[in-house]
Amino acid sequence: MSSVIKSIPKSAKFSTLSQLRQQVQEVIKPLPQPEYKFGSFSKEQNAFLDRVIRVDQAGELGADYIYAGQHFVLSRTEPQLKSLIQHMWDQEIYHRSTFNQLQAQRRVRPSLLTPIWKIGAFTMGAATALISKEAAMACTVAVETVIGGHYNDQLRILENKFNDIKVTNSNQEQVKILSNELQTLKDTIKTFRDDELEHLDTAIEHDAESAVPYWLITEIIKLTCRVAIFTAERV
Amino acid sequence: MLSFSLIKPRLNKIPSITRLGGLSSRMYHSIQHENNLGFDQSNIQYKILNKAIEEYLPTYGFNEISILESSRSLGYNDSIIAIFNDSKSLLQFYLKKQRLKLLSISESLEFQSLQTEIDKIKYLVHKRLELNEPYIKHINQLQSNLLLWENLESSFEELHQLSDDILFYSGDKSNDFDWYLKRANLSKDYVILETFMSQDKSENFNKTWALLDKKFNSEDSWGQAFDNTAEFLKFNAISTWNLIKSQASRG
Repeated sequence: MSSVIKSIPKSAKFSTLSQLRQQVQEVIKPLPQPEYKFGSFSKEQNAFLDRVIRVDQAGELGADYIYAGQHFVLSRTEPQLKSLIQHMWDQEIYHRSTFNQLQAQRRVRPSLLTPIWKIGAFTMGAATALISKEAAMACTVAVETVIGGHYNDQLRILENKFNDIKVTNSNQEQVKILSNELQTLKDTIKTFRDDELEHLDTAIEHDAESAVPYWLITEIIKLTCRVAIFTAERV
Repeated sequence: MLSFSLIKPRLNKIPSITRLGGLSSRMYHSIQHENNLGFDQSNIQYKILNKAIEEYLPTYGFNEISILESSRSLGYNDSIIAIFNDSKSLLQFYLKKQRLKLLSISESLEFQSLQTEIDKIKYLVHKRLELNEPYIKHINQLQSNLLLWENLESSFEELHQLSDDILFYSGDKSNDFDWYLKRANLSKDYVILETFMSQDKSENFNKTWALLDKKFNSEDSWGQAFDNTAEFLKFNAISTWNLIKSQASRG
């Protein structure tokens, strides 16, 4: 899937992606494995998956609105950046719709504060873009750093803490195999993490580090993101 | 000086069956792994409560007598009543049991053939209300018990689970704040209908079904209302911006 997205030219229009969005359903619907019987998750594993989906959905919603805010301002002040922002924005829209579908399918409660995330994220994107184009890029750096790290934390737990689930095959023998459900979730998070880190690189290439109070902007935004992640996991 | 808790004899609380691996702990719904749905049917509490609901509840109502009669008929000593939190476990067990029946109803062909989400919701609410019919004399007692302070938290949780189940089976795909509004609105409608039904003296509860039709025929739901409001505000923000721009460019 990521190769499909990466093959899209950066100047591609929004509508190219809407076809991609229809394919999301197939991507996140894991292939059935009727030959195996998968035991239930423990209470902790359940709670973890619940949080993962909620916070990732909220995070991608935030990313979507940050780029919307940046696009709103930069398309007017720095038209040469318009297609670049649009490209990153399109990827975030795709991420968000994937997690939206996961959330509905797996019956996870969305974050109660979604209206606040929307307003906050749009404001953050637009405000940094209003300061300067470098500040907007610094904002991208900060956000993608936190999100990338957070995805990595999730992957680490998915890798290490989900090995004790009982799986039996048709002969009632215990086997060591990972369900497609968990595998696709892991793959999705991996792909998205790579996309986020690509955005990070792009932002640095576009002079993020020459934003005037670079450390101040990035540290404030990083802190905000961490607080938002903490809150979205719980509320 | 001894603190109060040291003097006070400690009572061992036995967890109620409705708290044991029931749906109250449901969070993430797996599509491949086993989900812990339903009750542990080998549990003594389950056997007694289930029989109480099937056979004694219509006569005695939601109180200890139903549990006591049921445990006697199963050959237990009267002292077994101590494992229940008086009638509270009967209330919660009843609600959970009736709610779980919706799963098999939602798998029926009749339900699957329904087209729109609102029709599906209406169908499930109708079925859920029908499940109350044998116990209709006691529904007022049930409701007033659920509103007692000590039951309030669990009854709201159960009501939310009911709305959540109905909406999920009906194919709800909301993933925003409207998720909450839809569930709250359905819970409100359900309580209204259930209260109305408990007072309904018409034949076959015809008036209740008429009210049900009325409630779910309006196209607008709360979720849509929220979406529309958000859309409206966004539209106005953009047009205000354009208005300011046009005024500014006139100079």
